[in-house]
Amino acid sequence: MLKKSFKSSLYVIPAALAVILFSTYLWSPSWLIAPPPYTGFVFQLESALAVLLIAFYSFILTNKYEIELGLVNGYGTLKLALIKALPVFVCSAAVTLAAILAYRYEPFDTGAISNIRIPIYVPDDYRIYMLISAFVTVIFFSSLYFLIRVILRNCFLPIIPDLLIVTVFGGLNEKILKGIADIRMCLLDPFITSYFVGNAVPNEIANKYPEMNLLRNAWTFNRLFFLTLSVAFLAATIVLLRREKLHRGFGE
Amino acid sequence: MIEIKNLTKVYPRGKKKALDGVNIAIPNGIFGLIGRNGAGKTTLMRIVATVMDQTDGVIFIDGVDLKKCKSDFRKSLGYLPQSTKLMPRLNIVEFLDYICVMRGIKDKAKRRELIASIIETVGLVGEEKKQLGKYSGGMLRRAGIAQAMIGDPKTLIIDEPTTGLDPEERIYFLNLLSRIAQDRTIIFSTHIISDIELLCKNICILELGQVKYLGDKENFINVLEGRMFEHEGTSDDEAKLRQSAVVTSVSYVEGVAHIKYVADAPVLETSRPTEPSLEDAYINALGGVKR
Ligand SMILES: Nc1ncnc2c1ncn2[C@@H]1O[C@H](COP(=O)(O)OP(=O)(O)OP(=O)(O)O)[C@@H](O)[C@H]1O
Ligand SMILES: [Mg+2]
Repeated sequence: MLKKSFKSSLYVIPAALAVILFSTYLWSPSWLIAPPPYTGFVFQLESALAVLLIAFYSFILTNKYEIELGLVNGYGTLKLALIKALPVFVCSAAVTLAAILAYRYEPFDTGAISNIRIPIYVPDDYRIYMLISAFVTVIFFSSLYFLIRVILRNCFLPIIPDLLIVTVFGGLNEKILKGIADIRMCLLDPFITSYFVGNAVPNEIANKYPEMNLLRNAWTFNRLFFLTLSVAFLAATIVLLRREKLHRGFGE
Repeated sequence: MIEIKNLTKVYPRGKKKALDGVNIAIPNGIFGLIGRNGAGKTTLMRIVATVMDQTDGVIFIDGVDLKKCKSDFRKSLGYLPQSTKLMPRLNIVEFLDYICVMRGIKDKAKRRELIASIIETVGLVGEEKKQLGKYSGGMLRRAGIAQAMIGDPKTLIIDEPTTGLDPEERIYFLNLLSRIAQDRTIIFSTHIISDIELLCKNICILELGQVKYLGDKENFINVLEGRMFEHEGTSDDEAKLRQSAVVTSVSYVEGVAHIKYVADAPVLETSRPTEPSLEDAYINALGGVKR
């Protein structure tokens, strides 16, 4: 059944690719490989993926009818939800991976980014940081979506909190970069990777800039925080789905 | 043998009881559940089908509490929910294959064989390529029955299969049910009385979550033996009869009221005794025509 579900989720790959290419173009404006003004590519990638994923989920997740049949025929609500969601997750993860691998960071000309106040340090192994970051962001938005979906038993309403977070923190993100908002807010920013990994900054550079010193462990703490939140959301979702009663109205 | 004891269901956000102390014993054969919209038929069936929990009461399957033998019972159960959406993007073969996998039938060749024979049984040969979303109501109902028959279940729960079918399709469907009824218990719900007439020996009438009648179909009519009258008269007669008897049907033909009613003795002098029908018995059980 998983195999069938994978087959019918393949459309996610071209769709996700198209959306990521388009949103990167809007941001830069240039295509994937070109250097964006700062690492906004990551922000764009993560938020586009987050929104895209939940949109996919909202359409593919099991309906009430399927769950009723599933229960009687020996599949729990949790198992059915997993079978449906996993392929979408894997397909979009593959696209993310491809996008990150194709992305080439090029050091920018400082003149072009004069309005950016935060010194951005991009380590050599930036792809690994991007991967971890994108993974945590996507897990966070998905788990939040799942939990609210299960509680509200509705596929479309749970998109609202996700979109709200994307909007609010998209703005905050820019404000932090431009020095308008307090830099400490970045601890709570789901898109922290946009101003990149402070903890990879070598001592000599960090000591020169006080902001950079502040940012040093922010990335790690931030990612751990969001990962923990996501795990908690997922655990709560699983507990609710396992109770199997929730099928009532689920997917309507 | 399915025994339902004191079953009560209150929906989380519902105010009234959808089921209110229901006691039913369901023997083998086709068992008909009748009731108007909102009577609680679907609620009862979903609880017996283990897709929903009751608020109170117990269900025994051959003497064992359903809660204790849930997974075993599910293995011997086929269920057709009331909603007919199925899975609109699959065709019948893919859909049945999906159910087969859920049922744990791993062997591919076996699945193919089983699916072909079931499609034959329900009369959907030639419609294999069409997506279920493009099926007509009747075809969907057949696909639903096909799905419920996979795994050769001993018990079938079928929720309002005949609603919205044309007469020919309805008869076909009822025949199909009676054909597959051998050695099985089929619980089926309807609000069309004549469905019962054709199919069931035992019936249960639900109204507002309570059992209004339970037992043999013949007995159900026999209660009215000698108490059923018909009357031809004016609308004044109708008003009078509605007050002092249980009116089971009223129709006006060219200004003359044809009234059937239940009473211990004729209420009006010109009334004649008549044969009760299942419909009369049903309306009588519900307390007579309301409008
Ligand atoms: N999910 C629900 N939440 C709250 N109340 C519900 C829910 N489902 C049904 N009910 C209520 O429970 C009662 C019984 O409903 P049920 O669906 O069992 O009736 P039914 O006999 O199947 O009717 P129909 O012939 O229309 O299918 C109704 O009053 C209905 O409003
Ligand atoms: Mg119903």
